[in-house]
Amino acid sequence: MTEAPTVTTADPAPLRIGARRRGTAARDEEFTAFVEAAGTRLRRSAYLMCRDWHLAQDLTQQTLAKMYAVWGRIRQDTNLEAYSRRVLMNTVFDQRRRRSGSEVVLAELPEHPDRTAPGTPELRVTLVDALARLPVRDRAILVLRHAEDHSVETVAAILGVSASVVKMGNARALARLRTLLDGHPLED
Amino acid sequence: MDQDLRQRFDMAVSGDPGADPGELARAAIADGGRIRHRRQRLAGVGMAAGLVAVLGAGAGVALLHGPRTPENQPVTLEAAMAPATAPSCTQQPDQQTATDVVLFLRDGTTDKQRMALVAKLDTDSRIQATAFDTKEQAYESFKLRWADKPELLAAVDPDKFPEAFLIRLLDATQYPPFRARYATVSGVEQVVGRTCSSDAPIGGIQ
Repeated sequence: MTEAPTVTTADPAPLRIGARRRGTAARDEEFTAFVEAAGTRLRRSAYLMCRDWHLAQDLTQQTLAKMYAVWGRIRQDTNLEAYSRRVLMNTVFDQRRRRSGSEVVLAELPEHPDRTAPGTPELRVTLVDALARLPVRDRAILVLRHAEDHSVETVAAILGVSASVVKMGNARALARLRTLLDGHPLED
Repeated sequence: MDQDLRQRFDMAVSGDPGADPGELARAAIADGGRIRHRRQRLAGVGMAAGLVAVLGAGAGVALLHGPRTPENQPVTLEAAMAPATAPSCTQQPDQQTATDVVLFLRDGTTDKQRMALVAKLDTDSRIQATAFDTKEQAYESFKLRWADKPELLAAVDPDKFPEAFLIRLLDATQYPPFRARYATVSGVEQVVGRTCSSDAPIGGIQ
């Protein structure tokens, strides 16, 4: 009876959990390897979703923390790349809902995006700003499909929608993006 | 078009200020560890508000496990809210033997009832290990489980989830008397037992 819970009514301390600590080092090592392999790309996708590197870092950290909390049950038999994207996108959607879009980085943009000549450094601002003007789900489709090069089927699995929803959303979002980038039309 | 777009996306992230992945991993481990530990904490103080009883009879029967796919969607919100059975456990609750038990608490359980239950569990020699699942923790698990179903997430809030004690028994054959002992304790809504392998999370749910 060495594993009896040690909680008392006076002190809401953590109950002693036998065997929980075993393998912690190995788990952390494995998790760290995953972060090293996937963290940068995850963070860049987060940036494309929110236009802010600091928030992107925060969203990525939240995503990874959620994954770490359940690492024992996702480390095997799970497509970690797709899973991480799903958690990230959910974190983005969730954050957006919680803050009612009032956060600067997720706020409405000026009516007209900056129009700068192609090839200038400002061009990248224009694309990210244009992305931010799309509905968040369409933005997610574009980021997963075009920045990350996932297949339609993978994007569908990540977002939990059908392939046809992804295809339609992709077509709609690309058309909108073209309009937004009107001064510098994307080459067909 | 797609090729051009790909280049534009690459350019869009070219201003990446960079981040140390090791630091990112350490921060995530620290934060993620806290999420894990909330599950093990007694944090019930002041959570007695809200009177919506979510778990009706049998609602603790969780058939859901593993990554969500569009094919195995639940039919009801109640089914979606039921905790997922760990893969290494019997998916249906057991009546005769069980290694892992979940004591779901009634909504509105008082601190006094909760602490009385803790005192009983604390001195129960049949128990190997115990943890506590708060409403928030149950909600966190729900959010992760249904990360791809924002409409489900929008439909619930943490208060609608039941608190639960998660228990591992020393001897699976002790489950029937254990169940009988706690099923009638004040504040306990439901007792659900499952047979799990030793690597399952305590309580057999995730």
